[in-house]
Order: sequence, then structure tokens, then C-alpha cells
Amino acid sequence: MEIDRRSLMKGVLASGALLALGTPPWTFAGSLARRPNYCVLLLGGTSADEVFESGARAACASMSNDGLRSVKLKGGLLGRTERVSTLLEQSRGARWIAVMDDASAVIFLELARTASVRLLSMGTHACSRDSSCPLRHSWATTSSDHSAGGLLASQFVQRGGSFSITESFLQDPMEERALTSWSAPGFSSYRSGEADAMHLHCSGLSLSDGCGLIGLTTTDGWITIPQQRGVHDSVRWQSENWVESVGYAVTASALGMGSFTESCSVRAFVHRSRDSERRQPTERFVSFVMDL
Amino acid sequence: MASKYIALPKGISEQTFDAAVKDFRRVLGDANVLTSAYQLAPYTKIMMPVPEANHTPSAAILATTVEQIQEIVGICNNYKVPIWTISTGKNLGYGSAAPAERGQVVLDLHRMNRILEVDADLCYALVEPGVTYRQLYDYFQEHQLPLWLSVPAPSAIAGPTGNTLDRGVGYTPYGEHFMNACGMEVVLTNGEVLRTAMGGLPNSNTWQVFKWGYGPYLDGIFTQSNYGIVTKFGFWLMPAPPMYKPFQIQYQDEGDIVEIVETIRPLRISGTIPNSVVISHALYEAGLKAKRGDYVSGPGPISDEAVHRLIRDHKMGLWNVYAALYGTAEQVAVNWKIVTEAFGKSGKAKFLTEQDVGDDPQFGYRAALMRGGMDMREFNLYNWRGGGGSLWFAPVSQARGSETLKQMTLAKRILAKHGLDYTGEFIVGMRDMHHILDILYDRTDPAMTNAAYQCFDELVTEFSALGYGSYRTNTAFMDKVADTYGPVQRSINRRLKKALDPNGILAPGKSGIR
Repeated sequence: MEIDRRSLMKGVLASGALLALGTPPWTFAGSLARRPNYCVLLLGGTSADEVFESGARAACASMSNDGLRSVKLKGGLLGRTERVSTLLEQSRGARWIAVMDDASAVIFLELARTASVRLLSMGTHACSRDSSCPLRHSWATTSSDHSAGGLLASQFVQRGGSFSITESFLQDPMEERALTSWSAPGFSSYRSGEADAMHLHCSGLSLSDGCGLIGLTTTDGWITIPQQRGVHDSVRWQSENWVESVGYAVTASALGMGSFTESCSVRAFVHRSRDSERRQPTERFVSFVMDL
Repeated sequence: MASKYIALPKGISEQTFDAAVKDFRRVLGDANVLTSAYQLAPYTKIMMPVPEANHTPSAAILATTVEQIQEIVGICNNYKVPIWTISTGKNLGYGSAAPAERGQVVLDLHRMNRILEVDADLCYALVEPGVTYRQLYDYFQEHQLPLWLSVPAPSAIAGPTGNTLDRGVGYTPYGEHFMNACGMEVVLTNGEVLRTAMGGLPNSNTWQVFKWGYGPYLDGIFTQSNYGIVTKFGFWLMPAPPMYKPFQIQYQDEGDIVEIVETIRPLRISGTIPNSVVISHALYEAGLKAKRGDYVSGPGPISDEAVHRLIRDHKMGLWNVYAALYGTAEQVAVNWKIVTEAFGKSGKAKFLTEQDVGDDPQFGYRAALMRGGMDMREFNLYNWRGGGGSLWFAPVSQARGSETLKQMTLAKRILAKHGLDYTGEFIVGMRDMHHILDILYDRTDPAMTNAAYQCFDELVTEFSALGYGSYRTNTAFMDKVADTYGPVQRSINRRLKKALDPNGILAPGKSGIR
């Protein structure tokens, strides 16, 4: 595989970031990170729609936001592309959150590009029994300002159970941002030696096993990040259902809930539970956050 | 220091790129030069088992006129900035809209979308590269033109220029798209505008009716290549037939592929069955009706037992043959008799027509595609496993039963070794077949992603060692596939590149050509 080390990490990993829920909303000048004027939740006809929407509504409630409008695509997107194109054209000025199955997501992104959207994040979410880590989330996020991975990690830390979350940021971190790191009880944090290309937060498994779980074959060059003072997770809302948690995290991030950002290109959270795993609903879907 | 760009072209400094971007903005306007991460993110999505970062563009620029494109190639030559041209950018599973190499500037022509001419008597069209099949379909409806398109699976959102230039196929009698291409306009890197074949004559009215012109036939070198930017494209259209009869034939064992192909070949070569027949394995269509997780638990490929359970549950064939007859009622009746007699000999075939299947989605989307309709339900195959990973492996086979069985068996063995399923179909030309395998994997699972990469690599190696070449490939494997065609082909492609694009600004890496 002819890829350089930085590319490998950016692509294979991802990370989430943090949550200091309750910190001020998007405050980064010059970015698109802002509270949207109005927000549309597009439900693409997946079996996850209802539970995801429940999490999204919880996020709205916790932020006192009653401006989320839902649109349901009955019968899915593959037979309704004209309808979706029209919706995209008619929703200028809105921030969209969308939930799709894998097939619809491929086509949806094509329609979105043609409509000149500004894509803030795209997450692939899976719980399946054909992988060594059943619960997996992989985000491609424009910048750490739009990270939902940290919000989700904190949800999962509270409820227990193994998971992996990776998040890669298309935009390099801003230099002026403080070099801080997420932390949570039981987690050890590391950064790759090369210019903070990646942060890795591991719990219940070694650095080596953590690297292996996210597809890295070497543990060379990693530096331990000391536990940070004053970085605490506060989780205001909790669900036993992982899909609902994703709905909450994606929506909270999209609505501008402040989250703790790290200065890195890629972040990953991996947790292996020592307790017997609870049976989780098998489900797969893709989430989008975009501005029109 | 953090760059203001999300990527830079190889060997180009930020300062130089700043100057190029400034010039792009002068020609195209600020709104048509995209450099922010938010704007470029939709251009970075790939389905291949390599990091997006390998294929991240530095910018995307949107042109709408030939004159703008002439200026752009001038700017690129000046600063040695490489561009990756897309028409609609729907090469899904082959790289989508992302460039072959990190830092290339995407030249997006989707707004260059005028239908320049449709001649309903001579049955041809001349279009700009951004024209989609949906636009043409709507145009025919609006003007009540009795014309049919031939479309690939992304139908509505894709377009004839990009699909044909990558030598894609459809499912009607005009399904071999490049065979039905007729005349191109191409912007060369020195700014000249070439009109191929009859298009070279002033006042020619035969550009879209006679392919060959005079002297060497040049159109071919602008397909699957990086020698010019096609800005106008002519192609032939099928007259709508008075009658259309799609049908499906189901077989229940993998070894039946031999009988199927031996039966189809003479029918295809004689023209009794005129369209690009599809022989689809059950797993290729399973995503329409089920999820893999309903039949498989744990790692490894799906078992044969599970596949047979799937086809019983959903009344599918293990092999599903889709073809159609076109013509007058009399012609269709005669050919239907020939087809049913040929396939009926062994007693294994089960025939299904529209009257038998009702609104079955499996039959429905195939029937739509075989008449050039807009239907994207084929993409349900991405839901079979899920996870967003897709790699098309596309070796060419002789239209001979023993060869198809050999290819299928080899592919299945290699896929199983890497824990992956055989999800394939054969698209039958007259004497050849495109064997299309979609390697479906889960991009959230790094181990499976790595397995998919290794599997594809081994498929290319093993198939080419037996003389089976790929007719098309994704942007992560273009060099490897180019190597399988030998050093002389690579050398001549390189020499043509040097002659036509001395600065190497057009899509370096396309088909392994630099």
C-alpha cells in the first residue's frame, strides 16, 4: 500500500473530541462553526431513523432549540433523487443533518456536491458481529470545530461497552490553538511524534492493541500526553441505545454545542470493556452535517 | 505552519499555488474557485481501501466555456499545476470525483451542461461534458422524441461523456458506449481545439454520423487517458422500438454459468438477443431484498449454504440472466420462440417476464435499465454488507462457458482467502464479457479494509498472470493494472503523453500515464 505515514493516519483513524458540554458555542472567528439559523433533519428511510431522531430531539431539548424540522424520505433516496435535489435547492441557508443507509449516502453526497453544499462532517456508523470491535464510528470532518466524535465518546464512556471512534480532520489545526488533550477516567492519551498529526485515547487496552484496532501497524514515535487538569466530561443526557447516542452527538454538534477541541489532524478513541458485552442492536448508517 | 490549503500539488510551493489560484479566480471568478475544506470535502469521498488523504484535491475549479478551459490549461502550464478533469464525477467505486493523486486540482465541468443538438432522424446527440442522462431523458420527453438512451447504473446523475470516456457500458443494444461514440471536441494543452474525424472540416454536417474521418482515428486516444480535455461529445441514440420485452432466466447452481454462456453466445452474435445481457450472481442483487447480517454471523465469507438459503427465501436465481427483445410484435414473437427453445433444452432454466413478477424490484430495475430508464436501485448492493467500501474489479473474459466458470472460481477462491464474498456479474458483449466484481467491505473496520486492498492486489496479479486483463480500474490501482499490459504499451502511452502534454499537467496518473 503506497501511502505515507501521515496519510495512513489521517485516513484510517479518526477521533473525536471532547465535550466540555456547556462551554460557549462556536466561537472561532472566520469559520463556519456557528449556530445555524435553522436546521433540517433529513431521515433517509433507514431502520435507524426513528431512534436517531429521538437522540436529535434530546439534543435540541438540552440546547433549548426548537428549530429542528424533520423531513422523511419514504421509500428511501434511490428512487427519489429528484425530490432530494429539489429539497437541496429550496433549503438555502439551512444546516442539514441527514441520516442515510450506505447506498443512499453514496448518491446523496453526489447530489450534495452538485448543489454546492459545504460539508461539515460525514460519519459512518456500524454495529455488527463480523468485526473484532462490534461498535465502530468513522468520521471525516472538515475541521475540529465540527467534531462530534468527542461528544459521542463521552456518551459511550458513561454507558460502558467497547467501541472505537476515529475522526480525521480535513483542515489542519490552527496554530494559535492551545495544545491540549481530551482526558477521561481510565483513558491513556498519546500523540504521534510528528507535529501532532494524531491523538489516540485508549482505555482497557494497550497502546499497541489500540493502534492495531484502528489499523496502525507500528507503535513507534508515540508520546504519552499527561492527563490534563480542568478537562472534564459532563454528560447531560444519556441513552442506552447507541443509535440514539449518535443522533444526540451529531445533532448537538451541528447545533453548535461547544466541545473540547484538540490540535491534531486525526483523533481516535478506543475502549475495550472488561465486562461481558451487552447485546447491541446491529445497525449501519451514515450521518451528514452540511450547510446549504 | 498550517497551510491555507487542505493539500498542495506535489512539488508546488504554497506561494506558487497562491499565484495559480489568483489566476484561476481571474478567469473563472471567485465563486468558481473552491479552496476551503468545506467546499472541497464533497470531492474527497472515495470508496477504495486507501486513505482519503491520498486523493485529496488542493482546489476545485468550475469552468463553463471552452475559452475558460483554454485559459486554465495555460495557467496550469505556467505554474506546472496538475488538474484532474471530471464531467459529472460519478465514477463511483472507481474513484468518484477525487483526483488520482493528492494535491491535483479538480477541473469540474458539471456546469458545462448544454445539450447542443439532438437529431431525431439520424438518431444522434451532441452534448457538453456536464450533461446528465436525466437531462437528456427529460429533453426527449419534453420534445416527444422517440429516442432511447443507454445508461450505466448511476443513470440519472451520470452523463454520457464521462461514462464513455472511461469506456463504461449500459444495457440496451447500444450498451457498448464507445462503439456508439461519434465525434469529439478536445482542448489540447497548448490551447488548440481539436475536432476529431469529420469535425475537422469547416461546415461539416457529418461529424456525428461518420466516426472515422480521414487518416488515423484519434478518438480512442482520448478515452481512459489524459491527453486532452473533451469539451463536446457526439454519440448515437437508439430509436424507440415499437415493442420491448424484458425477461429474466433463473438458474440455481453456480456451475450452470457454463450452460448459460454457451446458450447466450450464438444468440448474441446472431443478433437474436441484441442488448448487453447481464448474468448476475444472487449476491449482486441480494442488497435489494436482505442484509448480509441476516445470513452471516462473524468474520469470513458467506457460505454456499447461506447463499442457497438466501435464494430460497427470496425466490432468486443463483444466476439471474437479464435480457430483452426489441422490435415489432412479430420480430419479438419469433425471437422469443428462439430464446425459449434454446434455454429450455436442459430443463434447468426458469423464465420470468413482466407478467410473472409484478413489482419485484430485482426485475424492475433491470427492466428499466435495459430500456435506458432512470433507475438507481442497483446501488442497493452497497447495503448488502454496508460500511461504504466498494472496489470494482473488471477483468475481461471470452464469451465461453468454460472461461467464465474458471474466472468465477478463481475470483471466489481469492476473495474467500481474504474473508470476502463473491459479488459479481457478467455483462455479455458478442464475443467477450465484462466480468464485474464489486468487492464490498466495511471501511469502519481497518482489518477488513486492509484485506480488501490485499485482495484486489492479488486479484489483479492472479488474473493477469492467466492473461485476463482489466478493462477499467480505480484510481488506487491504475499503475498496477497498466503494468499488466506490458512495457511497450506503457512506453508508447508515455511518449504520446510527452508529445501532447509536455508539462504533464493533465491528470497525471490516469491509467498509469505520466
